[in-house]
Amino acid sequence: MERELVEQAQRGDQEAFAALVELAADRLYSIAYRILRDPARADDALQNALIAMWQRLPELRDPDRFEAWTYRMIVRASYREAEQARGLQVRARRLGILSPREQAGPLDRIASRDELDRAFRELTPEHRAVIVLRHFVGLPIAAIAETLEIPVGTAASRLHYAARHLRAAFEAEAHGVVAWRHPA
Amino acid sequence: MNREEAFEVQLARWLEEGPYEAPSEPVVAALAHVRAHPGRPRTFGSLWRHAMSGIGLTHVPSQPHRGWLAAAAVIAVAAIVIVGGYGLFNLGGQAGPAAGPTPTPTAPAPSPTATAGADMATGTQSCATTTEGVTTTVNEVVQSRGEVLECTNTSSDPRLAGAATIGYNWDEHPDGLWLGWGTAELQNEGGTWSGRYAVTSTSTAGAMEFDSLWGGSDGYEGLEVLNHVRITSRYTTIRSWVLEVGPALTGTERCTTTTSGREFSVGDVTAYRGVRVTCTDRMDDPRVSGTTKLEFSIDMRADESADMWGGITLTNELGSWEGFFFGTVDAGYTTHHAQSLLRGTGEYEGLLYRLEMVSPDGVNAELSGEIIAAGGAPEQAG
Repeated sequence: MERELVEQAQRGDQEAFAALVELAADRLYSIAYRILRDPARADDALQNALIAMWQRLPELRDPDRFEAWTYRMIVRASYREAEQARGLQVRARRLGILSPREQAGPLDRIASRDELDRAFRELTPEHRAVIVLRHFVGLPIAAIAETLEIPVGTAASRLHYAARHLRAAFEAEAHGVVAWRHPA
Repeated sequence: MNREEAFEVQLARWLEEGPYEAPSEPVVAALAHVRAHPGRPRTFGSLWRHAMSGIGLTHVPSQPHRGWLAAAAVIAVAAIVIVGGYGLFNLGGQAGPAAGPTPTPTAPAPSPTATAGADMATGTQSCATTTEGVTTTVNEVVQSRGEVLECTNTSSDPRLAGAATIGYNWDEHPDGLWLGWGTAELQNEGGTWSGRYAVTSTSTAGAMEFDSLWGGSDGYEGLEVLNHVRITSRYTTIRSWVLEVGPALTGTERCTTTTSGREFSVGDVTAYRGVRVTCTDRMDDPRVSGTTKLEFSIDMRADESADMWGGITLTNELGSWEGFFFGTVDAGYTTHHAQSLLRGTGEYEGLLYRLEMVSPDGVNAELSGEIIAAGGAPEQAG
């Protein structure tokens, strides 16, 4: 069914494309939101990814690879949104000062969640993407590499680095270590 | 459960938090865009425009399409400023008095920069159209004039919250270039913020971001507010820094019209498009002295009052300033007024230059302005 819709959309059938969007939008938004951690930018990433999908769908050689291909499109769109956000933050921060992190609260799940959120925001978009594709979407390393069009070794390296960074934050929280917070 | 397993469980739980359902706005906007551009490859129009053609834009219930555009511009409410197309007066291509040599900037001078240390406020804006603009198509450019919006601004700084009235004009070119400009006024119990704004967009993205500057009065005298506005199909957010007005820079400008542009009539309006002017600016701060080039449009009415708007670039040896200006000419084609807010590049990266121009004859102008450090406060941590 999906393959037929993809083939029809590749030939310019807008209704078929709309049906594909209906099937994919929730999944793609979920990924964008988790990479960007910002609903407004996730909105923009989804919108841009859907338009890019329409434009580039004829380039998809194997219609059965549509789902993986959509992951690539939403990750790319998320990268662009993250880049825009980073530019703004760098500019706004130029004259700024850093604030000490508030004292960590008691060891509970909320504290760990906050610490994960802080550590995740410190990662680059590329590292965030591998975490989301691995631990949220559930893709194996090889599929992540194919989706992101990077070597398997690079995907594994990014995943290792990102997981280590998050784990350190998680364990620091568990041991009551107080760090200094970087601006978001 | 060992530590590694505990971490992975915690990570998975954390990732599971958050939405699983896509909002309708970006989906509808994307599909509307596809309908409008069925071919491949296609040229992007202004994507943000299509974002409006859909639905559910809560802040513009009556006319989501144009209202959203307006909201975008409004946000800008800012009082952009600057310089002007003197060329307007000299459509025949006359030069002003011979321009003297451009002052050479020797270094980024320690002159006035307003801002450092200002606290950042965050807020939102929602708008509804109360007066529809008049829309026409001239030479394939869709033009809207005279739209009015009533907006509600919220802010973490109570001085920036209140009711805003926005005058809104825009042009959309066939290649997707979009220009918006107008006036804005925000009032609350403490005083009034007002000014002009201008915004350009060629972006295919769903968001527009720009800076704008408002001046204070009726209680906010001596203050101005720098806004960084971000507009998407769902949200308008404003990051603001309230500043004391910096020491005024002053100077003069002389201009030569290099291209008179195309002239045509639409009703009782005589329109000029593609007018180009080159000016020499001599300010008391070398950072904003140099050669200014403007390319702009003019709409002149029967009483010979006019609106003018377009792009402006000021260049000297250390860098350049780029922006958009908006101006008017009094009836009888007499005094010209223009404002702009320019962003610095090169050695001036990170600075904004607010410029105002008044010219009694369209040839020689008096300039005033200030340099502002863009982003006067730290980003709020996570």
